[in-house]
Amino acid sequence: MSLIVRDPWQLLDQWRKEMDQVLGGHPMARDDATRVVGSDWMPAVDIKEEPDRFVLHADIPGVQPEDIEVSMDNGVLTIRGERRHESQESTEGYKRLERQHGVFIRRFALPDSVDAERIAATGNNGVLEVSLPKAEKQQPRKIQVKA
Amino acid sequence: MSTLQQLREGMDRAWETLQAGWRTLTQKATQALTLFRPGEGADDDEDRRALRAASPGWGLLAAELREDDGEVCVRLEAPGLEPEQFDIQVLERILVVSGEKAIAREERRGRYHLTERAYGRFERAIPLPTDVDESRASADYRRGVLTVRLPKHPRVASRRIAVQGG
Repeated sequence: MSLIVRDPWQLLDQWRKEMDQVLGGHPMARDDATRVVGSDWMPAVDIKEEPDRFVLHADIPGVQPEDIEVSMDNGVLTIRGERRHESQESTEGYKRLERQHGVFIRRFALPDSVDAERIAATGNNGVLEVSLPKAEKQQPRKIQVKA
Repeated sequence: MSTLQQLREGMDRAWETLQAGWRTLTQKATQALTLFRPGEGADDDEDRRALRAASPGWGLLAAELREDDGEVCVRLEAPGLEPEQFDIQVLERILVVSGEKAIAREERRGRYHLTERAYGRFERAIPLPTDVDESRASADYRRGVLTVRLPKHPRVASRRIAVQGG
C-alpha cells in the first residue's frame, strides 16, 4: 500500500486559482502586467478598436482633471492620476471607508500605428476617455532579393 | 509526530491564514462589490451586445460614510452615469441607491480588446448609523462621485446630556 501525500501548498494554489475564476477576472482580483508598482489602486478600463482609432475608457471617480496625466512613449500608453481626500473635512467621524485614495498608474502596449500627436483625452462624470487615432498606413516596403 | 499529523497541523495553520485573509477581503471589498444586471436596450446592436457579454457582472461601488453632530454624509463612487439616472431612497435606517450605467450608443463599430467595466442596473444598500430626516436630504453628483447628505432626525441630532456636578 502506498500513501499518497498531497502537498498542501499545491491545494492552496489550486484554491487561489479557483477563487480567481469565481471573481471573474475583476481588476481588483487579478495580477496584471498593466498595473505598475507604486500604484495604490487600479481603475477598471475598456479598450475598443475602431477602424481608424483606439478608444480607452477608464472609471476614475473623484479624480480631479488636473491630477490626471496621459502620456505615450515608445508605443506604451501610460495613464496616471491621483485621488485626493476631500481636504476641507476632518478625518474624524468616518463609519465606513471603502474608497481608496492615492495614486493609480496603468500602462498599455499599443500597436505603434497610433499617431501620438493626435491623442486626445476628456473626462465626464468620472470617466476618462482617451482617443488614440491610428497613424496613416505606411506603404509596405518591398525588398528585392538580389540574385 | 507522524507525517500525517504534521500535514494536518500545517493544513490547519494554512486554513487559519486563509480565513483571516478572506475576512479582511470580505470586510474591505465585498461590501462594495455590487451586482450589475443587464439594463434596457443592452442588446440593441452587435457592439453593445458584445460589450455586455464580455464585461464583468460585478463592479466595485465604493462608499464612505461620515457622521458629525448634525448630519450623515454618504459618498458613493459611481462613474459614468447622469445625475437623473440615480434613484435614492431611505428605508428605515438604510440608504438605498440604485441606478443604471448604460452602454453608450456609438456610431462607430469596433471590437473590444479589454473589458473590465461593469454595465447595467445596480442597487447598493448602505446601513445608516442613526435616524435621519429624509425630507431634508440632498444629493449631488460630481466627477462620478455621488454625495448624499442626510440631516439627522431632530430627536437624535442634539441628544447631548450635560452631567451636573453636585
